[in-house]
Amino acid sequence: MRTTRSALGQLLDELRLLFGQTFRVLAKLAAPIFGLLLVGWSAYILASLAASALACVVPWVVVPIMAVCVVVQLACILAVLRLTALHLGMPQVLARTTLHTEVSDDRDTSPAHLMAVALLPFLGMYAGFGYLSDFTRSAVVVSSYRCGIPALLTAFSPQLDGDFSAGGMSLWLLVAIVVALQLLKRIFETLRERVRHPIVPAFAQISVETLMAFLMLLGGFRLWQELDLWWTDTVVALWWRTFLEWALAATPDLVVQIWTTVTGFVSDTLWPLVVSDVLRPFLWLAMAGLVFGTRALALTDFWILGRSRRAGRRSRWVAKLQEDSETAQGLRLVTTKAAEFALGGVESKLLPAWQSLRLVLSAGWPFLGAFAIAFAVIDKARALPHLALVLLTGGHPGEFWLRLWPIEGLIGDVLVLGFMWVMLAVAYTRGLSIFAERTAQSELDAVLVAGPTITAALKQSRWQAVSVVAVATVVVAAVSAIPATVEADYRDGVPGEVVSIDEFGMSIGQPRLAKQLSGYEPKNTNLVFLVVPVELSNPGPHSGSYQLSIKAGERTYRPWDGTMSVTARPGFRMSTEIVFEIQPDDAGPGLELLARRLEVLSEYQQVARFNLGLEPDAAVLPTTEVSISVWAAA
Amino acid sequence: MTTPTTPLWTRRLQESGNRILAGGIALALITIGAWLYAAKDDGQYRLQRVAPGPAMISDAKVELVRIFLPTTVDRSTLDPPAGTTDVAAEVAYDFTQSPDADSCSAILTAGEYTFASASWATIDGNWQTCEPGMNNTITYIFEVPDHLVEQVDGVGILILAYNFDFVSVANFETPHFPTYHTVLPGRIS
Repeated sequence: MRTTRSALGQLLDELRLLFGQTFRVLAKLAAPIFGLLLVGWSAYILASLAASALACVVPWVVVPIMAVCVVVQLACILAVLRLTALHLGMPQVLARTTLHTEVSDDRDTSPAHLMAVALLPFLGMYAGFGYLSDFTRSAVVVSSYRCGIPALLTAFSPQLDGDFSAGGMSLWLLVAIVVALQLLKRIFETLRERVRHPIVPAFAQISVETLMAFLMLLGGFRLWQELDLWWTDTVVALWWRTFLEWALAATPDLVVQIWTTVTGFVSDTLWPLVVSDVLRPFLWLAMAGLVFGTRALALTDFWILGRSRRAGRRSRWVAKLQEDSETAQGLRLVTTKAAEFALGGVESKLLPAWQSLRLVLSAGWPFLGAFAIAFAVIDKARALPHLALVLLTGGHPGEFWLRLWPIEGLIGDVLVLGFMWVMLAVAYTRGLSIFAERTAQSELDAVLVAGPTITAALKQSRWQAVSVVAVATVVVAAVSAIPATVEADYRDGVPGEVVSIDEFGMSIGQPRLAKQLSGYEPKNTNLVFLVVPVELSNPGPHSGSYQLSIKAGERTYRPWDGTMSVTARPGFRMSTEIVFEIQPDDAGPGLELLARRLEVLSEYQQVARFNLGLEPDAAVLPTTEVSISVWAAA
Repeated sequence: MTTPTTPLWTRRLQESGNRILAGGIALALITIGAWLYAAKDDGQYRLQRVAPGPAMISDAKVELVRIFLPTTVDRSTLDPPAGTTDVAAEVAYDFTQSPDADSCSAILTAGEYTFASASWATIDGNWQTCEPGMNNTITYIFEVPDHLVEQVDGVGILILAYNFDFVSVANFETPHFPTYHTVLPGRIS
């Protein structure tokens, strides 16, 4: 029990230290930190603005602009991390390890060197966590809003059938561009190692890498889709599907149920928890370490060197990768060189991040637990400005949110993320300090040989570790479970009642159930037809269309005849009847009709929700006639 | 052991913190302003009002002859929407100097409201459109809610370019989205 209390006490101490130190740093460095983050944020927004304005006319220009703006934003973040690290006395911490004289680091003296060395792995991590794809998605959405068509996607979509009437480019052109950019990247990479001032080739290389990433996000994904479609149509895929169906039929129901439950838990709960709440914070922390310089990372080098005989399988694997590229011959040489050409050198991306992660993980359970909790809290806080805004303003069409988008992002991306970046730097410094404290009493040899291994650090006390991990997991899971979004601004109604939604008025009549639809060509169903009379009134001057769906518990039904939406022209009202084909079991109480505005950009919308009010034993008519659309002035 | 010193560039950053913040705020304000300006409209459907009289759209000439309330309208089997009035607009066009002009479409403006022409309704049962290389006068019919008839103030014309495709359905002076309707001002006579 005393061990548990002590462990939790350490956890709380670490948490207090992380938050307290972060506030202290911000109090001292708020001006340069928020100034830099505002510059980075402006670059991000201006890139989106360029996408919205230029994508309709010259989509090719948009991608380099986006690439440069992302590099500017990342550079600002790196400068913030470095500034914080130096303010926290990182050089002094490193000096205590007695290694500073052995390793020189240009990052300390030149911001350009810092960018050149740290931006590339930083960009990789940034892309890995989906920030680049989020950025691309935003650019596609705003350009679609502006152009009326997804102009960016259209321009970069490879047309495999050679039909360019809807825009797009040749598949071979896309492949040629990617290969050319890859070649260019390698040229810059080589130049970077050979010229006296490597800053320019380094920045050019990073820009080319970003450009390639955007190109792949905008057009490359279509190749994957085509490959997937091709695979689906193959005989082998058919055999595989047949085998799965056979295996499923031959498996007892209980086993299938258990399998479904277990895989559902893993994919819906466990995996997101592990990746988003456990793995993500530590990878971000490892990334923060990259800007601390080779001296910090060299600690891990020395540490690994000291116990090279006991080096882990992963270290050996990395070493083998390097050895392979140096000693390969013949076909192996070609393969290795091709892989290196495609992926870049392992030392530039994999090793720094891996070293940094090892260093972070050696800091012990109380620190790791406290950091995971702090990260989860700040991460959740990032969503709060949006939540507060939607609760204050209510549901609105996409244009409203589009106007507010940068202002809303200003709070989350500058204020909250600013706090996060500083906390990451504080945490990394703390992790390094823990490492330094352990080795401060020793001579260099002792550092090399007797440094704690990851396993040893994490298993200092098994009971302590279990307590901290349990508490941290519960807190992180609880913080993650706090809802950060609200689905929609529901406007409830019943048949015969007019519901105000945006500038429109919507009402429904009494719904009918039937087995057959009469008319020019009668239609029958083995299920049940649900016919809902709908009236949409648009007294205002703006257009709008609404998607209708029926919700029956977990099931959602779309209009049976494929009707995409109902529309009322400005100044008009339109009455029509919408037909749904539903399961007989669902034809009763609890059925709801939802009307959601159809728009390119949808955020927190007003949604009309009608309870259809069907009785448990609602009569199913043998046949019913469906009215055609009727228009009138609103 | 040497004492590590704060690098020059970070010292400069710290010393000029207020200036960086001021610069960041100024840039952010400019960015927000530019964003709000650009977000004023979705850019897909714009009206470009011109002076009364003939107007040139690239090499094509268009002129609003009159807007009037027709006594008869042929809409085959359809009934007019309840509470609406038919409004007709006569537009003269000259495509003789404009080889690219292929066809045209029209909208009626009434203050903030716009109404697409009712393609199912004609004056005499003959559906009309602009013909490539021709000059002629065509009549469009619009269904307008009764209470908005007094507000009718012009007709917007959109000329479609020859060989247009999915992307270039627009005035051929701007061969891409957004599309511009050139609004010829006029009142019901």
